[in-house]
Amino acid sequence: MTQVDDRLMHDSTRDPATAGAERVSRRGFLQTASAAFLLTGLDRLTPSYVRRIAQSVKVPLGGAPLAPSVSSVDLAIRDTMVDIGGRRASATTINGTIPGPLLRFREGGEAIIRVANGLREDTSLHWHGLIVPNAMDGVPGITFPGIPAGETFTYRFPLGQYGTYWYHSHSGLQEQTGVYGPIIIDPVEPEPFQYEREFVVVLSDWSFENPYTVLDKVKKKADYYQYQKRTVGDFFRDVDQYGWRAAIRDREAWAKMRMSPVDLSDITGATYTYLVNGQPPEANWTALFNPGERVRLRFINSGAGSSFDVRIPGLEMTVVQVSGQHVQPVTTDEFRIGIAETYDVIVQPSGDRAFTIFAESSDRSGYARGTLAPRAGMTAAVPRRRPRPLLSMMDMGMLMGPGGMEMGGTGMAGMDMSGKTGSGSGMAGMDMSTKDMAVAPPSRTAAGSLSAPPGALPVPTAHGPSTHGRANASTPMETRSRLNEPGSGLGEDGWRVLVYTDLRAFKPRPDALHPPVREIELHLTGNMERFMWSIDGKKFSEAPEPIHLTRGERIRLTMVNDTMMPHPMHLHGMWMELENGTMGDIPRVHTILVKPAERVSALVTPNHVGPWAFHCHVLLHMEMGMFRVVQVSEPSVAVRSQP
Amino acid sequence: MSTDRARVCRALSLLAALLGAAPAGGQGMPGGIPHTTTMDMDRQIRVFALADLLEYVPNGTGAIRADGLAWIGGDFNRLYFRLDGEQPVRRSDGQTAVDVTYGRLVTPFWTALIGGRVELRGLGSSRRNTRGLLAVGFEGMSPYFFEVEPTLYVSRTGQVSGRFATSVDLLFTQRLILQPRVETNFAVQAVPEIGVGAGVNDVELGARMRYEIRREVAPYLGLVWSRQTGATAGLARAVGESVGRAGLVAGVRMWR
Repeated sequence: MTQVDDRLMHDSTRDPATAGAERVSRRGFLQTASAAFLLTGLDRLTPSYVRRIAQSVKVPLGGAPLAPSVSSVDLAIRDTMVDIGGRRASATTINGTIPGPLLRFREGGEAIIRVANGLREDTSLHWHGLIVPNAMDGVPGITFPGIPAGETFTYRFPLGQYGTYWYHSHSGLQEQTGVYGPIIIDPVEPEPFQYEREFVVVLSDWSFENPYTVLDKVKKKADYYQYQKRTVGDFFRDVDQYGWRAAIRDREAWAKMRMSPVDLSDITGATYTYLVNGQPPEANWTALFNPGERVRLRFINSGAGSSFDVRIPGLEMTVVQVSGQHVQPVTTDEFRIGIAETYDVIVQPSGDRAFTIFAESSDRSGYARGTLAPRAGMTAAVPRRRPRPLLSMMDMGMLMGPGGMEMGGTGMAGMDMSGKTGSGSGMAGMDMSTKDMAVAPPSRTAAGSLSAPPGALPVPTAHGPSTHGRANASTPMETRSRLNEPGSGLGEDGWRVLVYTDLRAFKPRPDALHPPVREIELHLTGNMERFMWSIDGKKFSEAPEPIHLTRGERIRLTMVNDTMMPHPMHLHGMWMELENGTMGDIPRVHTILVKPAERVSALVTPNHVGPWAFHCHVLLHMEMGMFRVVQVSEPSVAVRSQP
Repeated sequence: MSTDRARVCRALSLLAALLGAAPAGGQGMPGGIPHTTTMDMDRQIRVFALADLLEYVPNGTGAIRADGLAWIGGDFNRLYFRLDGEQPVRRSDGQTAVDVTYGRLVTPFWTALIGGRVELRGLGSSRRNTRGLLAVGFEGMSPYFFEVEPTLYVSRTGQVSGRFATSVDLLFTQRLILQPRVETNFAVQAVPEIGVGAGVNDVELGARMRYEIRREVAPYLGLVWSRQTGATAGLARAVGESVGRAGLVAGVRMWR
């Protein structure tokens, strides 16, 4: 069904309220008629993938049939009463559902999207990961004034890329209350992998509380939703296990810094219900397959405040696309998907059995769940949640000895950061240790330098003298690349976990080796006590200067996370080429989950002039000021005249 | 009614402007595109009120004790109100102090406070005594998660006194929390007319175990030991008052 109503979206002549359900392309109709006839009433207005039982059409070898080259869509954003796990709730929706309709386009075509604002406040839609002309990017106050209540705005842009993406409101906290949906752009060239069936898996988080109330609570008590703190009992358990000295030293290290080792998420399962395609775990969103088929799952994290750790017990997943871009296939058992990231995986379930799609929130306070099954109603065991992890001294940015990790504390909080848990490349069949040697981090230097070749990992670097003022509560002593680490709470389970150093562009990209002409270093900063988030210690409202870039110039953007929380950093309007040590195979991404005390670099070549947003995709972090404008200007005559 | 509301709104927006917060409507982005509500959220004004202690003290004839904090403002600049008072249930000689200070975040964990304090003694009795003081202090969190509020006061006649309070939360479960608390008052010069001697005036040690039904509402039971010391204790003995007490307290901690 997935494809049917999506193609239906392209016909714009009818009322947007019924778009997405009733229009059936001639080709899709015959294949899905029997399924469609079973659907009645409200269900018929619902895009198929957000229904509880989803059955995709069989995908012909060589990929899905292409959408028309000019695709026209009508979207209506309005207040809607929705049902989340049997509980009525007030939401803001796109065409009446959470998530909104799947938009399916064709690479090389053009999208015309009319967005009608039925809310009593401004709205907007941003096409996450799509490189579009600046005025079509949909960031109110930056690229356009927003869509006022009662008005309609028409987005029109060429589709110059393929892949899995998503779209969401960039206004207020509407993203938290339901204004998001998936995008698929089918490639013109055949894809370098095959599958018989495909599903979109939109992961998200829902709160029955008003998001402005949630914000108010965390502004007044930042750990309001944190119910996994260490207790007196935990202390004595650690004493039993590690001795008094170690237990006290560990508590002391955190207490001295006034930091909590359990701050993995601000908003937790204490208020969130985690959703798969709009369905809570009890509703068990189910995707149907025929045993032996290859199934493509397009995972999208549309959450406002949650990273998910995704696995399908019993099935290995072959990652084929990340951020909508083909990568060399990597087989893994689990991956962490930061907010706004997309991962496309292919699985091959066999036998007459069901499989659970298990997406644990990274702080382990809850999970989203779906099922892959040959028949509706079949379920598989739902794994137990793992214990919540603790941040480590590594996350604090303590100095590490040259021989590896010198734990400032006891090691009880420590995560092993060796590459042993990484996933092997499915193509090359290399194991991680071999690959690790190829991308071994260079030795520590005083500061990162331009001399680092494109694609190389940033070198460990001591933090500079500035502590970024009162808006920043901590500065790591040293920051280093942590792209080879799976992240807090991952990698200790005896199965493979994807790491960023596993990602290689599908095709070698010799152009990526073009060296940068300058380097921009930005520090991600915050003060948890006041729930202030900022870049280089300045909130966006403090009117910091935009980051100035020139069209066509190649720069290295280095992000240094001074905080103890991971931040999914998103750059609008241009790709970030993630320098993960793969040199000429450097992958392109639109969002990077930057770990605590991590130094990450990306190469950027802007091709579109204008003010572009750059921000943390934790919704409240963005709204509290972890946001900048990247201003891309035409090269000046002087620059242009240079050889 | 509506004019009252308008007046309140005007007063609040003036206050907001003074505190450096977002003016309604926002300001333009460079490039002429009007700022919408989206990008103003990081400088919103909020109002916070906490009754840290609100308890019944069964000693003697019984008393109601309160220690509260409120602020209005943004991330950096706030107007703080602090109330510390005790009112016996059957006698009319309670005392209350209210501090009104401007607070500015000066380091990530510390707010500097400057303003005034009004002390009211013998409330509702013939021995009523009021004095105003200049207040200078800090409010914040020290390493090891101690909430600390040291404040110095200067009277109109130049007498210097001070107050120091600190507390820490120990979690037995995610909702059952023990809060040890220390509070002490001291004076550089004696002020006998209000029963204050030079030196440390009093020390109070408390341990309150609360249960957070919600984060905002937590009933508690506590053990409190307090004692007047030195010259202050002498002055109290001279008028036949007891100088110390110890016992159980019961109350509720609330905020919004």
